[in-house]
Amino acid sequence: MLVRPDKRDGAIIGYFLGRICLVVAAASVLPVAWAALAREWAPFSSFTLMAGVFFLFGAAGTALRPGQSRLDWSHGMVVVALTWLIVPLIGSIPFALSGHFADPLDAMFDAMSGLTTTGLSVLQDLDHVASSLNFWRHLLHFLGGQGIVIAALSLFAGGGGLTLYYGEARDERIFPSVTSTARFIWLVSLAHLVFGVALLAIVGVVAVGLDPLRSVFHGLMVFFAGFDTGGFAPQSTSLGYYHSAWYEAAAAVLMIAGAMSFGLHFALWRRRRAQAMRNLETRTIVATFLGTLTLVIFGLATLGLYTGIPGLTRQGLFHVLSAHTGTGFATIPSVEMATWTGLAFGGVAVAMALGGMASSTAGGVKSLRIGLTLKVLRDQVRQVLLPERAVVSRRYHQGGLRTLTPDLAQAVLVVSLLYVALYLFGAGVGIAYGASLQSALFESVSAGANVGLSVGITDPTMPVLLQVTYMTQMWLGRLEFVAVFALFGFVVSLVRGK
Amino acid sequence: MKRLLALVGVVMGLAAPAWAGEVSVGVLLSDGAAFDRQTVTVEGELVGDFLRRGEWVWVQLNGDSYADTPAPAGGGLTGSNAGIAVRFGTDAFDAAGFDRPGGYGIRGPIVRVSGEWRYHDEERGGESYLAVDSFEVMAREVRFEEEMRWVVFLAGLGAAALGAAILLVTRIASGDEDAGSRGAPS
Repeated sequence: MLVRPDKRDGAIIGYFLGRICLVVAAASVLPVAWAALAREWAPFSSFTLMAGVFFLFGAAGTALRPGQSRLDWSHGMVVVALTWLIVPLIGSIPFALSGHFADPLDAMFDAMSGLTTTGLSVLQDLDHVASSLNFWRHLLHFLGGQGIVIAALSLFAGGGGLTLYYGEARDERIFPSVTSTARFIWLVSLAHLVFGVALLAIVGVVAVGLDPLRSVFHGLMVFFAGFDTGGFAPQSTSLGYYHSAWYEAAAAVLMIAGAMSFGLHFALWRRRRAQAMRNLETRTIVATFLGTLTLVIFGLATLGLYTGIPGLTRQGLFHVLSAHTGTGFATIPSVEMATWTGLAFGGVAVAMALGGMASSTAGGVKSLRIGLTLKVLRDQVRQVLLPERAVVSRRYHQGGLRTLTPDLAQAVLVVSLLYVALYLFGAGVGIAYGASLQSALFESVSAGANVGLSVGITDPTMPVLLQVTYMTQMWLGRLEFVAVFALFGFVVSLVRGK
Repeated sequence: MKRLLALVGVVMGLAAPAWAGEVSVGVLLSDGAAFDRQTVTVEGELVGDFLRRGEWVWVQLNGDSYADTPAPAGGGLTGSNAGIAVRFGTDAFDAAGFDRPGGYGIRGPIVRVSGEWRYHDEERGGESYLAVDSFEVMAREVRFEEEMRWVVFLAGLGAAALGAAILLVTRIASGDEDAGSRGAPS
């Protein structure tokens, strides 16, 4: 029997949502200040409204003050799922008022894409967009990539931290306390922020030819989008804008860092390189990266799109890296990406679908699940081939020796299958609207795995239902299903419970 | 003599890239291979940054409707930007005396450029761009401004003030509750 949630449940959820909204309201002060400094008064007024609404929601939520403020598992999941709807909804206000979007749904699409670090965009006339609005687009990547809830946990300890942390699709605690883990994640991110912006700014001046101030601006934007594996870019031609292999290499360093789990960052931080390299996840991602890279380079050579080794390797390497890390930067226009057929298409699509490491800013199925799935399959085959009494080892390395239990294997397979279903569902909707199987599958995987590479289906003129489908895919893919299913369960209990 | 001139003409014709005429940026983006190593003429707005690298200046040239009127300046929304890379010789570029490229608050200079379209140029790791031989400035930069939206701004301040009031009332109420519970017999 379903139990209908009562007022106390609503108060707990509202209270924690309110606290998170207050944190986002504080972050909203940054674009307000940016717009004021840049004397961009129209965006300034929009950002003031957004910050005010976040603050109002935050205050109203925290006013609920439930007597018992500890979150249980279901409350935490619902809070996370709702957070990832409310923040893009309110965060889309400056977009909707900017005059760069045809309607509020388009604005919401970009806000959802930004927050989920997807990078697909229906923004029009990006090359004339205000710098503060560009900053907000990329800051959404940073907030989403690091995790809004992580941000909240870093600032306030207290009940419910663990369930919120897991709800945001993070399953790795580096320190015993979730708050300490959240603070470590922010420490790593801020260290990379300083290093990444400095690196990009220097390369921007020396190799690209940017003015120093503009170079810092571009560096900051590309850092947010690269390290958080987002994919937005300050100009409409993405990373092709810079015409520089050096700049692409600098961005690639950040993309790789972003796709690494924070556990791996911690191991490298502590100089435990051997342990990091022994991890199942590290080995899996290296293998799948090399495999998809081979496919793409062979495919591009077959298509004859690039006639020499420099073009094949640079374009192939960059786009496979962009796809596998879930970043979505491109150096070619989407119409050209659509001409990557056959093996080249297969390689990029598979790289996007697999994604980066668990507990990183990347999306997709994640390498740990791929590695464990392959281990389950291998163990099954070995069990069949070996004598009946033989015992097959179920252990694997991941930050130490662990055992692959039947429950874990089942969870891994279920989530992996859910991702496949998500990709196929989006592709089906795309095909229903007249896209070819290849294009529909490519765009759907890009949305569901939070990548952002596009073959041109994502466009301001795209059908509303397809747009909503991609937004739902971004949301589900980013939260890895569980929190969203918990929200659906909560709503069903609200309607049908007794 | 005429035969000699004709021969020189034929040799030059063989040596020089074929002239494909005026094309749009959209056509170069969608069918770039068809114009590879051909001389094309394109018109559009210079946007973003002037990337100065020694003897060359790289700029993005947009050939979309926003080159007439950018969206923030009241131009209608007609889709995403359509831009290609163009490479100018620094001396010629500087002689044109451009002030700023297009961006927020500026409709950039409109130029008509002619040069060789290099599609997936292997010497540049597979990049596509237009190597400009000659260009003409069709229109100079135009500045535009977006006004402060006072209603939106005041609505934001109002929301923030309301939020602050709620927080204040909540804090006072919780203070009363705490005081009450402290005074209550245990």
